[in-house]
Amino acid sequence: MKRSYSAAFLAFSMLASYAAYAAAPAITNAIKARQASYKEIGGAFKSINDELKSGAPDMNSVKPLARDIAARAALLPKYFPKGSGPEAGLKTRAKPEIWKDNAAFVKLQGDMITAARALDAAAASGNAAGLSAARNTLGGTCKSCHDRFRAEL
Amino acid sequence: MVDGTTRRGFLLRGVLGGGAVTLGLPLLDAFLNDNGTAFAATLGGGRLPVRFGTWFWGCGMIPDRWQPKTVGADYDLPPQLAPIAKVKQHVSVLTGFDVLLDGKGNLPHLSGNTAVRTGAPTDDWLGIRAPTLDVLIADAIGGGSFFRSLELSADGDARTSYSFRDGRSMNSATPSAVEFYRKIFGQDFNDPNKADFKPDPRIMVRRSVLSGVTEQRQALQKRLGASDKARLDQYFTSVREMEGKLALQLQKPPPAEACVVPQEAPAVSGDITDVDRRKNNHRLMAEMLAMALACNQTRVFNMTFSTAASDLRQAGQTTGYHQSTHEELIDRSIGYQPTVDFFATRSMEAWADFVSALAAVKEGDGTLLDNMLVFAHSDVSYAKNHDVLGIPVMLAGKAGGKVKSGLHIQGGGETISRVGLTLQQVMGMPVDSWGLDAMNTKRPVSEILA
Repeated sequence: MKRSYSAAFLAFSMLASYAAYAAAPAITNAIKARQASYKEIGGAFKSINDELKSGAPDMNSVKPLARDIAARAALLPKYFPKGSGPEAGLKTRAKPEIWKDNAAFVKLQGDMITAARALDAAAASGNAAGLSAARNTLGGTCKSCHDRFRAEL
Repeated sequence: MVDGTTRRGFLLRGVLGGGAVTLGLPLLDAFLNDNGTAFAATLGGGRLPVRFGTWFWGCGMIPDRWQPKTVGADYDLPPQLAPIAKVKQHVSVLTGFDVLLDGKGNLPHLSGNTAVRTGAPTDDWLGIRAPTLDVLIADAIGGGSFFRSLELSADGDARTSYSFRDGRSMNSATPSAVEFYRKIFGQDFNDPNKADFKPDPRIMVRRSVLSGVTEQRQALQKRLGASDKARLDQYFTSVREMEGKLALQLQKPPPAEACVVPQEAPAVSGDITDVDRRKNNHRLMAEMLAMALACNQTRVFNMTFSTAASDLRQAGQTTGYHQSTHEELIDRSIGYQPTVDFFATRSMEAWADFVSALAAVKEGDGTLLDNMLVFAHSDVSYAKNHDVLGIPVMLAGKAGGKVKSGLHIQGGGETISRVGLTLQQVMGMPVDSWGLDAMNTKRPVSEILA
């Protein structure tokens, strides 16, 4: 019995590996690009938060970070092609609901892009209070999307 | 002036029936300067060559303390740029030109550096998809001089070079003024201003050895597979470069009025991560490079002042520049990291030394710097965060009258590959676009064109 479990596990692993291998390059690239972008956005957002917590944010830090978030957010919609969910066989936290309820997902993406632009504008103005408010709005759009469309670790 | 005419004046030289022939030319507009009023400055009768070089420093700057507030001519000098005051008329500052990562992650020190130099960011040197632009320019203009290009690193390490043909072919650097002197002005040097010239018989023998295996080389190539052929091609390219050097050594070099053979530089002893010693080593190398250019030993160079992820340090301190960018707290009372500010400012002092060394050499009606274009850049923009948006760029020189100097140009977030495209076009390369993917551009920075 133990042996048959092992064989089944081995077969499953091979299938999963094959799926990953077989994923089209465009799908693989899209998954890699969105993961890299979210990682950069997450890092930049944390850095902006840290600056706001300091009470006297370093605008040399904040301005390019906010600009990077806005630029990356604008590109995100193209990194979710059909077939780039769990079925791609690659490690991804994107839930199938992204494509099942795509209109809601697209709406939240749009909200994020708008909020990221507002953050960029607030950073460019150098106004700490405006930056703080824009940070809160953007954080809210991130959470709304994660709650519905991102799988837990 | 047009390229292709001989450096010896109004002559075309060629070979007919195994013998050298020359053909006199009438006076052409191309022999005049841009105003058409006088013969352009000359090197042995031909027009002075326009040289190209890069100057690199690591860890960027602090935007509020480096970026001028005013654009155009007569820009202001914030504290970190203050050291260039004496050479400001030679230097254009380009801010707000971005590396577009297009969904890729930012691998600090590498993404920005490769994007600036190759027109596409990479997160691995082996993954470089195009040659660095100095290599492209050297391929186009470097052939007529003894060295196709010269790579120099003031950090004492021959592996510190950001000049690549591809990820596996780095052009290694000469790491000290002493070594540089011997390379340029050592036993193979032909003084262009020496009255008598005798070809060195040793060179004639070496040349004939290389020429003597031509048929064997061709026969060997016919028997090889594709990968071996490519490998052998790369090898023969270096052989051809050597043949070119030997051929040049068998000719009397054209006189170069600005060429003065310097004294051998003193060795810089001690740890040259110390910023003051580094600046000293760099200044000696800069002065030597100026003479190497004036003596027509090369037309292309790359000078590295400090490494990407800068290795600089202050005497008596164990924490270096790069570590400080990560660990030093911002002094909220002044709004920046004071140690980082110190090193960024020292780097600009070194840049000013470099520009001064080139501007100090009189050549033709102007200076050596007037007949060159130097492209200075870093690997990141804001030192603390290692951003790649707005990587600092400066240009020095007038490229023989083709560019304006002393301007501040704001890029407004457009791709930094516009700068690389402009440099290639100014150096006479027939390219109308440059850069890959999101960084591809067809728009030069026209504001600097004369």
